[in-house]
Order: sequence, then C-alpha cells, then structure tokens
Amino acid sequence: MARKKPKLLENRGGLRHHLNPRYPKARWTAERWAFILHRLTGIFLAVYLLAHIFVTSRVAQGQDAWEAIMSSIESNPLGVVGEWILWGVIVFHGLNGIRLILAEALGIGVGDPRRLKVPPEPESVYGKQRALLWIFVVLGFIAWIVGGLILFGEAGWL
Amino acid sequence: MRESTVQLLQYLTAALLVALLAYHVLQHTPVLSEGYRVSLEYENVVKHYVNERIVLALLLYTALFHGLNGLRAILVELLPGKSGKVATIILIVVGLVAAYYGTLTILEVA
Repeated sequence: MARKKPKLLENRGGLRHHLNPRYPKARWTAERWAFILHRLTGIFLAVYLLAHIFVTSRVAQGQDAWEAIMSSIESNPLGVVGEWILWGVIVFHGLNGIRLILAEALGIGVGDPRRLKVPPEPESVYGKQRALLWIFVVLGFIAWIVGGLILFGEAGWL
Repeated sequence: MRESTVQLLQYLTAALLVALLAYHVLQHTPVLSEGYRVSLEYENVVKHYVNERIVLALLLYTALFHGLNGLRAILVELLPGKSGKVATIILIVVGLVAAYYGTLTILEVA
C-alpha cells in the first residue's frame, strides 16, 4: 500500500512553501482567515504608521505646509476611500487583537484537550472563543459603519 | 531578550494601544472635539500637540514597538536562518529613526 503523502509541508520551507500551490495547505477555518487578515492589516497599519509620522510632521513647518498636505489628501478621492479603509482596518485589527489577548494570551474560551482524532483537529477551535470571533465580526462591522459616519460623515445627529 | 518576553510585551502594548488609540480617534469625533474636519485645522492641531504631548509621545513609542515588532515576527517566521536577524536589526534602526523624527515633531510644535 502506497504511503499517504505527509500533510502541512507548507510550514517547513517558510515563505517559499507558503506561496507554492503544490504544497498542501492547512484547513481554512475561521481562525485561519482571522490570522491571515490580522497579519495583512498589521502590515498595512505598520506602513501607515510610518507614513502618518511623516505626514503629521508637516505641522512643525507651519500653517501653509500643513494646509497643503491636508488639502492634497482631502481633494484626492483615494484619500477619502483610504480613510474609510483605514478605519475598517483599525476596527478589525483592534477587535481581533482583543480576541487574541483573550483566547491566545489568557486562554479564555479555548476548549479542553480531547482524545486525538484522525485527522487531527486543532484544540483551539473547540471552545467558546469561536463565538467570540463571530460576535466581534458583527460588532466590528457596526463599529466600522457607525464610527465612519461619525468621523467622516460629519453626522449632525450625534 | 527572550522571544517569550518580546511576545508578552507585544500583548501588553496591544492592550495599551486599544486604550490610547480609542482616545486618539475619539479626539477627532464630536465626542471630544468639534468633529473630524474642524479638529484637523491648523490651530486645533497645534493646540492638540501642546495639550496632549505626553499622550502623543506614549502613543508614538507604543505603536512603533507594536507595529515594527509585529513585522519582525512575520519576517522571522517566514525567512529562515540569518535573514531574520538581519530583518530585526533593520527594523530596530527604522524604529529608532521614526521615534526620533516623531519626537522632534512633538518637541518643535509643543
């Protein structure tokens, strides 16, 4: 009988194996999507942080320099869409980060160890933390829209 | 520093950033100012730098550590061998330069 090919080889070769479609990938659980999105939004925010430090430094160069860079952002349609994307990214990364502090750092809502099944399933997906993930997805979406309207919509009703 | 200590710092700065960033964003809403556009007018921004320089400095250092250490964690995991260490050194330099630049802005305005 031919031996089954070992699974999860993607983690052995770093980025090269991750990007190579020939290596079988782990199952796409909700936690895995959250993990990937947390990394992508994290990279986005780290780059934004450096740009933000640079842009806000214009305020030290006086009123004209500040107003020039502000109007260049406000008059650019990409700037307006970018503000909404940025706010959404902050909400996702923040709420998912709180979830990670609870589930990953403090172990809250992660299930007890079980007898090993074949194929093995990650212990972390048994507990109540899965519910927390979906609650935060819904809360995050509401925070994105409502917060965005308050921030950028100049909502008069607040 | 041990990786476990660094990761603990990553969680602690994350918790701190939730509070600091909530405050930072609220300052551009009608809750703590006159709204987003008005709060970004030159006089209000200068006033903000003078009144909140301690919060802004704390936010700068916390966010830089958390953001760049997050990038480092991804790079160390994906790049095998010595490349991870090189990435760490590069990111420490980037962090120090950005921290210096940000501190200079706060000191010049405030």
